[in-house]
Amino acid sequence: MQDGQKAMLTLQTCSMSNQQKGWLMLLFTIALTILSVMLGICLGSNQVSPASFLQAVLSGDTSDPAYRIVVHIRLPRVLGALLAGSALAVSGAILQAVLNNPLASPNIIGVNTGAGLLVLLCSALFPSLYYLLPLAAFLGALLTALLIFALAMGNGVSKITLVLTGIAMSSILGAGMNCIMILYPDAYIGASTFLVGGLASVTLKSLQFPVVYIAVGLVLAMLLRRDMNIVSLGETAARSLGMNLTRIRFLLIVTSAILAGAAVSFSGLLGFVGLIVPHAIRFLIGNDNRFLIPASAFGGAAFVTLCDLASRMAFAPYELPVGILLSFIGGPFFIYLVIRNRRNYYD
Amino acid sequence: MIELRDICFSYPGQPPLLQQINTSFAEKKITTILGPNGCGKSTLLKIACKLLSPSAGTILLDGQNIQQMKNKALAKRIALLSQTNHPPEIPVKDLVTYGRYPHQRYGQGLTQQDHIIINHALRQVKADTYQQRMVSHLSGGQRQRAYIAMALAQDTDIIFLDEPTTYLDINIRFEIMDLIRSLNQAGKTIIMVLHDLNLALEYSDTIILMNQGQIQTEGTPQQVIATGLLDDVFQIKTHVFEEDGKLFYHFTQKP
Repeated sequence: MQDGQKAMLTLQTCSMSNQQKGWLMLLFTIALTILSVMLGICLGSNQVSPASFLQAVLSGDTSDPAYRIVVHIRLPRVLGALLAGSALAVSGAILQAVLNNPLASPNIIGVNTGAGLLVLLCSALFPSLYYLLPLAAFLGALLTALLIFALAMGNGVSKITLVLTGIAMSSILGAGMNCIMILYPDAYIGASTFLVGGLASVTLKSLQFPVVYIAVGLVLAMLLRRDMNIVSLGETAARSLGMNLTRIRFLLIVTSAILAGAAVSFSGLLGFVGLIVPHAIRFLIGNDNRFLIPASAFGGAAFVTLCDLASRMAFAPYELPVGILLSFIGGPFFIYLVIRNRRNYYD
Repeated sequence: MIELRDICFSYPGQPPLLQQINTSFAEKKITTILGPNGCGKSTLLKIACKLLSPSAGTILLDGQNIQQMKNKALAKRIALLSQTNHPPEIPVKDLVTYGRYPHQRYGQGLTQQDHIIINHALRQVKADTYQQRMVSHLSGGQRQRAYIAMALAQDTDIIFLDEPTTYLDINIRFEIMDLIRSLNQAGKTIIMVLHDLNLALEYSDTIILMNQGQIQTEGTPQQVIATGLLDDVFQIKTHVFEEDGKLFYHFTQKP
């Protein structure tokens, strides 16, 4: 058994309090993120050792291949993976809490596709206004999330019905995206990569606006962690504890949409991060959002960075968009969740 | 004291569920709302603690209209223990900790005072021995104790309970009712909705008897039985026995 697996099993089975587990998980995900950044920067078709990169930086030689590979190719990509991973994982954790539905995640209930539709529409109609893309993505994500939320609040909507509604919504919005791509063939360069989700075309410039949105989203999520715990107790309990539930739910949905929208605006429709990462962390440390949110942020960042590295390396010199690898991992995981909890999902 | 004045309530497009309710819940007493299914007793409870807004009428808490009170300010005065079909996947201690929510400010963690109150609440309901267990894994009685501990951590002077003994075994029902009585003796005002007539008559200081959205009568258990309205509302015959100075009740079908 690998050391990592041993550590996971120990974490799961030992008799630590949930708070201790939470701190340990947070430290573990931070360490994993640092490791994934180092691997993401150093590994690839040309190996760059940290020493050779540091040497290039210290000598000020910007023509050094090590410097150029790291700064112009790998750094934007790793930063993009960190941002998209943390944003989508936290967005998923928020949606699961606010909809009280463990199957909810930005791609499954159509939030990512809503963001994608407006990104493509914005690219088609205002091609020079690239800085509007995160805003358009946020609006698309928000409108879809609010619509799903309104449906979830209706009487008698089971967890599985909500998911099916989200899938139908994704299908409708996806049809809208296809229309735009047919009517405006130049709307989005590399639209096929956008549809499966990938980080190959990420540049530092393309991250300058999403990074602001994601920072705002993550700060909001951290501030709302305690409220998310109360929301998960159910409507009656939350309101009897003095919570303004409508306001908090709206704030949570806006936060989730900011995060998912910003991630989609530069990485495309990356799927399943918001499902896999919060579930894995919840399985190990429980449902306390005080730890779940920051651990999901770091865990998501590390997960997407490592998956992107794997998708770059697995079939070198060819490269898979990371979204394909995520779908290969996430699809079976989603089916596993549905089968494991099939009875509960009809309530 | 909580006063309800001219309370009316109906769901949109539905006939009135509550009509001209006027009553009050006495301080430091146990008041139980009784009535057949669908008579509006749980709705009245929710209106009295601002979970539902009445179509007409006002609710006064020590003379102050609760509709004008901030949610957190009200939650520092009134705790509600409601029925839940989906217990959360969290440890008991976390659940009890959430009871401190109305007292916390944004960005502020638990203070030493909060920890003292949480631990005291756990001990008071004897849930301290299983505080690390998941709420969803507890028996019905243990779970109810955990929720009562959360209400105690909320540190209010009034506790509302909606059917606190539903789904519990008979011996556990008595345990929970004894616990509720001990909270009342410690100074809490208790207002509850109960289905079980025996428990209601045995443990309450005041009974409010409802039927078809209206209060039929209210008073001590003996006063309510003496009116004969309990028998009319539930279509039963009430038999009262006295043994060792204590009253016991037995109900049979109305002939």
